[in-house]
Amino acid sequence: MTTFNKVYNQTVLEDIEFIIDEEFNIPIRYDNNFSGNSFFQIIPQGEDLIERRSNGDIREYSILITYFEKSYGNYTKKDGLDNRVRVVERLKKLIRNNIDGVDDDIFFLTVNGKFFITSEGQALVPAGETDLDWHNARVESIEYSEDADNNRYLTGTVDFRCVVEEVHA
Amino acid sequence: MAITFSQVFKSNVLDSLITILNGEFNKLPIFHDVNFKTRGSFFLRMIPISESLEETTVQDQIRNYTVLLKIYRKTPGAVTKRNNYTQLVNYVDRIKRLISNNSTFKPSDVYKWHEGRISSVNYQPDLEEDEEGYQVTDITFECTVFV
Repeated sequence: MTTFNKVYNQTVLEDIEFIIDEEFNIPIRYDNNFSGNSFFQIIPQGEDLIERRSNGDIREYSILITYFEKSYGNYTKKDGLDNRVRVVERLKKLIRNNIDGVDDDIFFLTVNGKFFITSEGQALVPAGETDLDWHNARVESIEYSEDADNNRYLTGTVDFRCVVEEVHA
Repeated sequence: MAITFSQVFKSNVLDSLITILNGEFNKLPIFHDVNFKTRGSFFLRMIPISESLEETTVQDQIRNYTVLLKIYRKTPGAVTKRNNYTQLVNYVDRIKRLISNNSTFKPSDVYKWHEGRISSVNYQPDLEEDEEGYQVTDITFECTVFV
C-alpha cells in the first residue's frame, strides 16, 4: 500500500475546525440537518494543483463554510442581518489572523546549511521533521442569503481557500 | 496497406492507469460507462476527456492527455464527517500520492508517460438524477506522452 499524507483531512479540515471551535461557541456540522439557533456547516469543495516539485506538490484547497442562523418573525436589519454579519466578519478576521495556519511556517534547509522559506530555484531538502500546514489562507468571497432548503434559516457563506505545500518524504 | 500507428491513449495512458490503480486498490472495480450506470456501492468510473498537442518536432510530438476519474460511494445513514468526508478525502490523498509516485511511468523499462499528475479534485460535482444516491468525487488526471 502506498504511504501517503492525509493532507485534506489532517492539515486543512482539522485545522479550520480547530480555529473555528476555539473562537466561537457555535456547533460545527457536516450534514444538512437543521437544528438549533445557529451552527456552522463545513463542506469540502475541491483542490487544484498549483505547482509540482521534484519531491512534492503545492495545492490550493477550497472549503465552503456556511453560518446558519434561525430567523424569527419579520426580517429586519437588526434581527436578520446584524448578528450574521458580525459572526461572518469575525470569521473573516480569524482566518486573516491565521493566514499561515495553526502551526509554524515550513522552513527548508539547503545542503550547505542555509535556511529558506521557499524552495524556488534551489535544490532543497526538508529541515528534518516538519509539521505541514497551510499558508495564504483567505476568504475569497462571502454571500449572504436565505437557505434554499429551509427558509427559516438565514445564511452567510464563506469561500475559504488555502495553499498547502506537501513534501513527499 | 493500413498505416502503422500506436494506440497511445489506450496503451500508454488508460491501460497504464488501470494497471496502477488495480495494483494499489484490489477492491475497487473500474468501469468505463459513458453514461452513468449503477454498479454497486463503491466503484470508479474512468472517462477519457481530451488530448492536446504541447509541442511538435520533426519526427515526434509531445501530447497532454486528460482522464476523468469519478469515485462513487454510497454512504447510508446520517451524514457525518467520518462517514462522508474523512474516508473519502483520505482516499483521494492516497490516489494523489500513488500518481505522484508514478509521475514517470516506465514499467519494465518501457516508457508510458511522464508528468503524471492529479491536476484537480472536485468534491461537489454536478450530478445527474441517477447519481444522486451516491457521494461523487471528480478527480482529473493528466499526463504528458512523448509520441
